Amino acid sequence: MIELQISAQELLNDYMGRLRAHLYGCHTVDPSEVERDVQEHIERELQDLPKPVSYNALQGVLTELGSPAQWVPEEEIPWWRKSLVRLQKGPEDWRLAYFSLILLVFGFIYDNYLPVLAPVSFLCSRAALSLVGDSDKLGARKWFLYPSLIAMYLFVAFWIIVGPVILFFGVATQFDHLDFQGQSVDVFPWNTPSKMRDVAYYPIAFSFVAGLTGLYWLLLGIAHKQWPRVTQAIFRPFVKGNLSGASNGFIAMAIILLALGTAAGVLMLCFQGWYDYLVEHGIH
Amino acid sequence: MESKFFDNWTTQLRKGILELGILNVIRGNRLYGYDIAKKLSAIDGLVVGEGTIYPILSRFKREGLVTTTIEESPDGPARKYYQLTKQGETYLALMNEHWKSIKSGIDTFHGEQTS
Repeated sequence: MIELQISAQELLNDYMGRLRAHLYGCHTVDPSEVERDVQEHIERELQDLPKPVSYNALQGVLTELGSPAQWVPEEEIPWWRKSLVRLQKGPEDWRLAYFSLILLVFGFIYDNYLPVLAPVSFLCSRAALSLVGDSDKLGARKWFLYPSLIAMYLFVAFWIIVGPVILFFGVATQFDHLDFQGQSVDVFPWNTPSKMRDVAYYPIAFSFVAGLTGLYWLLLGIAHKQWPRVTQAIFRPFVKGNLSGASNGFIAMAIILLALGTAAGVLMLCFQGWYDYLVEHGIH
Repeated sequence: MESKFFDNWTTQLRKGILELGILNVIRGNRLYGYDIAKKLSAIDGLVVGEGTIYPILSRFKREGLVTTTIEESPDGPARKYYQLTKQGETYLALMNEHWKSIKSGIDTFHGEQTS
């Protein structure tokens, strides 16, 4: 792939996102094949330009390619997409936006129905966003669409990032009576005497939670760096580009946490070894 | 209003002609998608956006009118070449005949009125 300036890369990602959105569900074409052809076309156009290629140079090429919204005739668009377009093409194309916000407000008023209304509101917002393609073209509609998106993204982000950490904490609180297939499991180092167990509990629990959290977050950070498009697709339109600085910071934090957890574990084992040595030599 | 009518008319006319144009450009050649787009966009008013041809090529491939081969290129990434299949050639011959007959019919009326 040709090297692009960051703003140009964002423009290209947005354009390819719109291309996928407009060709999705269209049974007469293979969207991934069209995407490859368009990518090759763009690379061919840009190959002789100085690198990294600028935003304006890329924009010129994309203008020549035209909007993906015009590429497929109406009869080849799937029925569900046409229905969404019709729903959206109300007075000033605001119907889906109104619908989304109303559902969310009703969800908060009648909170028993929130688990159903919030996801439906979210789907309406994503559908409206997908139809417009470029979030910059939403205009004031974003005030109607973004609340449900933000609410759902916060929920999803919380469970992706913090959910497993809660599980690790839960397991750590059960260290005293863990059992596996009916067998009691002792997570304390081999000879920890009962009087030491209360003292040893906290470093072991810290080592366990920090180590696993660090490892999990490290995997999350690497996955985001490796496949930024997945994060962009999940959190569209708020995540643009690969957020290189933020993901490096997240990975650094994960490594520190992993190191702290490992260090605490190693220290506990050293302490246990030292304690065993004292017992063995009759010093204690 | 007049302009909207003309725009609608050209859009409808363009759709079929563009497909005919793509098949004619590929006929007897093995062409890279980019070259097909450039050759057709040189015809004034035929291609609104160069990207329009790619979904059509994808559809032709699904319908068995063209095949593709991928070859390494010394200038950059591997290139995908399009070529007409036997079925594509058969359909193109029919389409060209049909187009010729419609065009000559319209030209006849047009000629009668201008002479």
